[in-house]
Amino acid sequence: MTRFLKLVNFELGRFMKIYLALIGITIISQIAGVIIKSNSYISRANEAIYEDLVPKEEFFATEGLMSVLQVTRSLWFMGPIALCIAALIFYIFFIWYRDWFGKNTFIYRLLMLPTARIQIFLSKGVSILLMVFGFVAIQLMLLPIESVILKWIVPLDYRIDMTAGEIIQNSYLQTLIPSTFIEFVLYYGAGIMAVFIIFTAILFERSFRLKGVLLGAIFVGMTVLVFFSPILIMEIMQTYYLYPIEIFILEIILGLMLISVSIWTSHFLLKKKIAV
Amino acid sequence: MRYWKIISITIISILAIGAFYIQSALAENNFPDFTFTIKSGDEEAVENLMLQGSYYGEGEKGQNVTIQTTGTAYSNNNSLLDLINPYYINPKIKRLQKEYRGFMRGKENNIAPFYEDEKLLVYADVDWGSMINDQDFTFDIEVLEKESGETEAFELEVPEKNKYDYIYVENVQMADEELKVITRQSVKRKNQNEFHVYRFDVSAQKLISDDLIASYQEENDTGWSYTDLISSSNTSGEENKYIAFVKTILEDVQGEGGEIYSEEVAKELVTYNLETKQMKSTELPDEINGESHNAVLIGKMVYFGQDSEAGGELIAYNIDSEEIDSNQTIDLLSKEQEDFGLLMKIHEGKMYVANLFSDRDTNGGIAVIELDTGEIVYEGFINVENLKTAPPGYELFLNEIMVQ
Repeated sequence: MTRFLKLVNFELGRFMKIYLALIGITIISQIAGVIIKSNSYISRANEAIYEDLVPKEEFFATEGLMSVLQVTRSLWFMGPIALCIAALIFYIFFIWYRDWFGKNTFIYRLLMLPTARIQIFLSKGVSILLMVFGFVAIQLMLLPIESVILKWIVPLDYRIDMTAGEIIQNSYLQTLIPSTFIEFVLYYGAGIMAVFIIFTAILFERSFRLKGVLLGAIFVGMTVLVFFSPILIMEIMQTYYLYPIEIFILEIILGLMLISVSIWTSHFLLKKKIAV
Repeated sequence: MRYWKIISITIISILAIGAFYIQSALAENNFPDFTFTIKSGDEEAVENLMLQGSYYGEGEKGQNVTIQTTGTAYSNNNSLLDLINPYYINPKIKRLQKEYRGFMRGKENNIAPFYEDEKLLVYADVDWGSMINDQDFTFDIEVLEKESGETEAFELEVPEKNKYDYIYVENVQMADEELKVITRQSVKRKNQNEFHVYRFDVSAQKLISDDLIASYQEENDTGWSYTDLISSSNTSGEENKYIAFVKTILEDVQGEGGEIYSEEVAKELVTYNLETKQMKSTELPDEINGESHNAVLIGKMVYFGQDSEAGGELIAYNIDSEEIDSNQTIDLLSKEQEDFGLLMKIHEGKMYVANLFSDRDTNGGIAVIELDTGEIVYEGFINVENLKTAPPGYELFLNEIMVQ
């Protein structure tokens, strides 16, 4: 166990500088977004109400009241989130390839470790997952801070105060942070499955090189087909034989099954086929 | 410390995500509770009432809301859990799924193709074929004998099936082994809708007849007309003798500038007698505005719900005598809301009416009327229980009345 933790800690450490930089960019950009959007709202309100003498109600009717939601729709807010997502997707691949193409083919030393080789696979998966959760956590902590900053700038009559939950439910964040914990587990469980399947495809490529690209693609295609098979079959036949709850349970079973298949296949590849 | 990276990320994640979900579970009710406030009548009348609609807080996007006497439930449009246990499933379908899980398997959330009495549960729908071979219309008929639990199922091709673009089953009736399926279908390339009655001999598994009873749209020299089906309720247990339509007749009129537009000149009630196969048309009295979506046919009576100067109005029209039997006005169904109109539902001999729209200034009204006697058994309002929980600019739009 301590070996495994050591591996995870090590994997995290290798990305830590970029990771912290991404968090820094997110914090700065989102807070700057709140300040800029709030100030521009206030100056528009002042211009309309005091210079053009538009009645307050009319201004609110066309512009709406100021809230964090107005910020969440802007590039200041969504931009860094998209950047973090892109970085993590990139890192899902890079976390493996850097071991082969780094300064001193690091994978040698990893594979030489006296631990089960599947631990390398799992530690990389856990690292990705932890980094994803870290981003989600930072965003959740940022939302109340952003609300407070908005309160400092925008007077009470001009704004709607919202809790973190309300902000999430009314913005795109809803897809990243669902409203119930069960959904959170399901969404990110599906995410882990996807990461493991991509990892396995990478190992196919590392084991069989060019031929492995094809094998990896077939593996991914098969898993997608299996995972969506209940829905696909029903759509093609146009008969909805299963009740929604049954499809749901079936999907969970299929998901768990695909995770095991992916881990088992990777275990086999790492042990028998991997080429350095 | 050796493992500071893994420890700090884990702790921050658990604390932030955990705190967020614990807080959102505790503060679950950000939205107001709605209640029915009685003005007169018997509170029991709304005990099984279930109103569905959308709630809009100030500047927020709409939330699906279900209001019952037992409480108010909100659900998020795109939540995964709503897909598993959809709030919009018709209560009758829900009950049937519970009682006849095997029989109801694979059948959609639509009560039109079902017929139920004490002995039988009948399902008669038109299957549109698979994705690969669509518009391969077949009748899909299943009859469940409740006591023995036995199901008789058969499929029959729709006659002249290549003629149609789509076929919807509007209503199903069953009496003395004879099954009647009333459908609305569109004829390919003709922009024409037709209403048909198909009769089946269930024991012989055969189609007896296919009668075209009305066309949706007809043109003539002076103008055109369109025909809408009045939905019929067979919860009363007895078989409906009639099918009824509202036919709206429009005439081409030349405006001052020479432009031609259509003007509504008359509304007719068209009835089809299922026993004698006879059609009859009568002009509707002026008091009835004839909106078919707010009308229900029960036995020989057509009940029209409509807005009027005085409030909500329920008019009972007798097909046999061609006269208005009773006319009931409910003045609490606020007339300030003419733009939004009324929502109505007939269930087991009672009519449930509600205003579509509520906000802080105009609470929506609800009324329950006994159809036989025309007596108002309940009058009340939809209120926010605790005004502090709702922002001043909240809006509530109802879209469905259900009775469990």
